[in-house]
Amino acid sequence: MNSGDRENTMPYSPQQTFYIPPAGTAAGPAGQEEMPGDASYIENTGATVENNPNTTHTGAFEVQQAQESTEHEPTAQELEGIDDIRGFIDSLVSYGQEGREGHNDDHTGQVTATSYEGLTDNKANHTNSTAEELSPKEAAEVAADIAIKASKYLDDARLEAMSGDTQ
Amino acid sequence: MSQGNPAFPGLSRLFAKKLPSDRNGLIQKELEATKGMFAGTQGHQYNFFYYGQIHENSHEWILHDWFKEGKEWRVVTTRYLVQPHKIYRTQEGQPYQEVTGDELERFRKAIELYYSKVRSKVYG
Repeated sequence: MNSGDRENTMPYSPQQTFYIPPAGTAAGPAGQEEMPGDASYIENTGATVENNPNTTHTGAFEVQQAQESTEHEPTAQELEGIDDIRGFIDSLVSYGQEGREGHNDDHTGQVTATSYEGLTDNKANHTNSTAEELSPKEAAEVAADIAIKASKYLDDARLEAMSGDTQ
Repeated sequence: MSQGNPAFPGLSRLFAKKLPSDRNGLIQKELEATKGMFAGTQGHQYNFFYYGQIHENSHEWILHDWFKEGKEWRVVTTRYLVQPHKIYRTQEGQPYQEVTGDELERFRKAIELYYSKVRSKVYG
């Protein structure tokens, strides 16, 4: 796939979000009972990168730095929400470690150490056992590199599936 | 994804997985493949998935945190924006913040696990 093909996969506005209600619920979030009944729908959501007026340039991307924000102090509820996210992500660690060690899990199916083939390079593999040895900058670069590789794989896979190559 | 079989050109297509032809359907397939990846805790259920490439150098991953208020389901959306050297997070319209430390490491592992499951169960 060339870069032109990938550009064609970019019409998805960050203003759109894909929602799937929790299993066992017919409706999903409040007020969505009238949405199409296939349990999924697209809904416009809030702020985007582009329309945020309080942005500072950081290379090719505009990001509002938290310390520069004077308009909003996080509320206790918002901080609790972030803690919830971190708590949730805590639960990933065990799954990730099991996967890396080649264990099976009844809930998640077979995940082997080789499942990550193609996703990590030598530097990333180095971090698997000694993440704390990396500087914060290096850790961010490794994580971003892995995430980008996975993202590009998924972009290509989805594009191929939509074009019928896998059917 | 399909490599084809030189001896039997139509064979791989015959046994290939039937996938949705639309993006939302594919995301739903990916969510099914990763179901149970994140155990719900204290009334919360989570959906974590790759949303798509939203800029030339930006890829977005989304975490939906579903929970009940009374009889109604609510959702908090956290967006992870991946750029070449950094990852940022925003939640419910809050300013973007760089993801660091433990959260960065766990996010990386979540990506790896999502990738491995989707690759083997959906597109493999």
